[in-house]
Amino acid sequence: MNEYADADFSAVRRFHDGASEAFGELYDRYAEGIFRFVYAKTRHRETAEDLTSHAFIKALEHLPSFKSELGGFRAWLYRIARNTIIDHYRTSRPTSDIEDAWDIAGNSDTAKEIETQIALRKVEKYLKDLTAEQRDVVFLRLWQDLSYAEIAQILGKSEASCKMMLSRVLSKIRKDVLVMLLIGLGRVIN
Amino acid sequence: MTHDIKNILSDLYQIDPSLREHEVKLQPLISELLEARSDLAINPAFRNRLRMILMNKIRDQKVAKPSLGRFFAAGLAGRSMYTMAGALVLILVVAVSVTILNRGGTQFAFEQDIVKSGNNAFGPLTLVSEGGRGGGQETSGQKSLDTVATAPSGTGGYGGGGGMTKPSSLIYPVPQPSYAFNYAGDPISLTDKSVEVLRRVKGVGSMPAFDSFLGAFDVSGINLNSFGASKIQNLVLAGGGDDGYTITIDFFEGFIGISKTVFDWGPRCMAPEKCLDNQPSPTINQMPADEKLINAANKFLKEHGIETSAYGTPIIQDDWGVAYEQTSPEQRAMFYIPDAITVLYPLVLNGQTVYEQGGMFPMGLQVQVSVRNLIVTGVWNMTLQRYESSQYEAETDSAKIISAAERGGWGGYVIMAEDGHTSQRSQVALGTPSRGYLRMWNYNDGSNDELYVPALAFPVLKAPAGSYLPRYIVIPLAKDLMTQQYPDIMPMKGVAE
Repeated sequence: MNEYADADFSAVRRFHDGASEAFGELYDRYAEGIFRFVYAKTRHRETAEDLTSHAFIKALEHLPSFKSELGGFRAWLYRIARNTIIDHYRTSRPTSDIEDAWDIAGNSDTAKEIETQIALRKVEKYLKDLTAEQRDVVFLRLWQDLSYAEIAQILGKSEASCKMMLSRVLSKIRKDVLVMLLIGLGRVIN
Repeated sequence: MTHDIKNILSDLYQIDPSLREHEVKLQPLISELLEARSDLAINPAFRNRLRMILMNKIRDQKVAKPSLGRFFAAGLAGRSMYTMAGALVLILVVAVSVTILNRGGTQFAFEQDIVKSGNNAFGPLTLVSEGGRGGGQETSGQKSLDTVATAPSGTGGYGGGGGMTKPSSLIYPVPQPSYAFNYAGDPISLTDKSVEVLRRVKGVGSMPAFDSFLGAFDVSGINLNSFGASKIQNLVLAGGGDDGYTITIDFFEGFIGISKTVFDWGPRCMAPEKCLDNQPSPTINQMPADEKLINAANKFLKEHGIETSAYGTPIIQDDWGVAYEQTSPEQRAMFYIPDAITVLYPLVLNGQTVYEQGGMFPMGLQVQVSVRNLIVTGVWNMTLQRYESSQYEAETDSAKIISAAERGGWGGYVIMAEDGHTSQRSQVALGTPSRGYLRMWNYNDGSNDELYVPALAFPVLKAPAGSYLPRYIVIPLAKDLMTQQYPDIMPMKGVAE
């Protein structure tokens, strides 16, 4: 549950009524989260900043047509951010089916943000073999603390299928861990 | 974390009960994923820059919005024209005002714009000047934006030199305060080596369209041209009728004030039974809800196309309410309830709130709304939002900053503890500070620079009963200012000893 859902609703309504500063309020609330989400998918600060900018500009341009009755603002904003990332990779690599940086080898920005990169590398072994959509479920549910209802809105799927996706991700990772353990054990025995 | 994991698993068990068998293995797995969460913070400069871009974009989208020009036209409707010459002047003035004040105008615009200058471009931040600029190019506070924008880094035209008063002599004798501020927040880390100080570019200076017109114009036989090159510095447009407003434009300070023409107060009030000064002040029961006051202010600003993108969410300046609450119930009948309440739109610079020294509230655009009829009676602090910015050395000693806050703020109360009676003072806890700006004034060669200095705003967590304390103690982060005010500041504990 988004604790700011009511505040978002109020800000959007004020924006629609002509109070432009209300968008600033929404920006202040979600700039950090959107940046982190984009960074998690791009693993490159400058790219993340660039795409975060694009996402917010798109959100501003389309906010007049946003309808609160169709879903929350936060999920709508994350959907825009996700689509912006997908567009970025599809435009830069039109012949490949790539939706984020995890599908590209050696794209991480290791010179900077070392601490973050170390943390990401710890789970890279789990995440790199997932589909981009599965990774999104991990990022949005575990890292962004979004509800399944919001994730469903972002991915255009049902809540149940989003839950199922995370369930399968965890099952897969669990099995991969088991396989890795067995391989390691085999090496020790041999 | 454990709670998060259990929630996550609980959700998943509903859809895939078989996962429950693997809970022991899944828990550390989810924990590992959660720990890898990207905590990389957004770069504050990027965050602020993007905010500015978005606010500017909003401004650009408002092309169809009603403008101040219409406001002027409406406010002046019905005004008597005493002479044809006067009418011509007025028409020209209004026409040029409309052009200038509209968002499409290039000179008198209210959207925020910050132009970077070289380091230390505003000279020493000593907040006093007695001829201390030794070898600078600039001799006046009114320099053009272009000049500053192209100033080489590290210069700015100030040579330093003598003339500065010793800091110790600047401290006026002040009564011993009855408060002892104690910092109760989290540890503060100050790692930035420099801070970006802003200076407001106040006015548009000369108005060629006005000046050339007036220079060639005769008013009742007086040749204005004979007085030399005349410039319009202030313009006052007085609207008549019940809906009239008086608009004051200060071209050199970059300021516009709007006030309702009042006919029901003082000597101008012709009907004694309606004169407000003959009537009792409003009662507490007549005080409208905050939302109504804010809505009235919003409506007024929107109707007249007054730009608010530089300002945050409006709040009520309820200092009267604080005083009212502190008044004993038996004395409340005598308490003066104000006729108008100020709705404050806090100024936001680079995404951060701006504070005044010792102010109860942030600074910003003020809209006064009548308690009796919810009519806007005045708009103040509507200023040009053009700034120059310059990097200055930052204060990085957090102990010094905290100590300054515990003394009541920069230039505020100086709590000397020699008397050893701190225990008799009311203890006031200060919370973890947030970043903001402190508006300060630097008097230079007869002009006064309006500076906005990055600062830490320490919230006053709980003011003692009967006190009238600011809600924030704000300490600037520019080293110059800290050194000036506290040349050898020591932690309070040391002073007490």
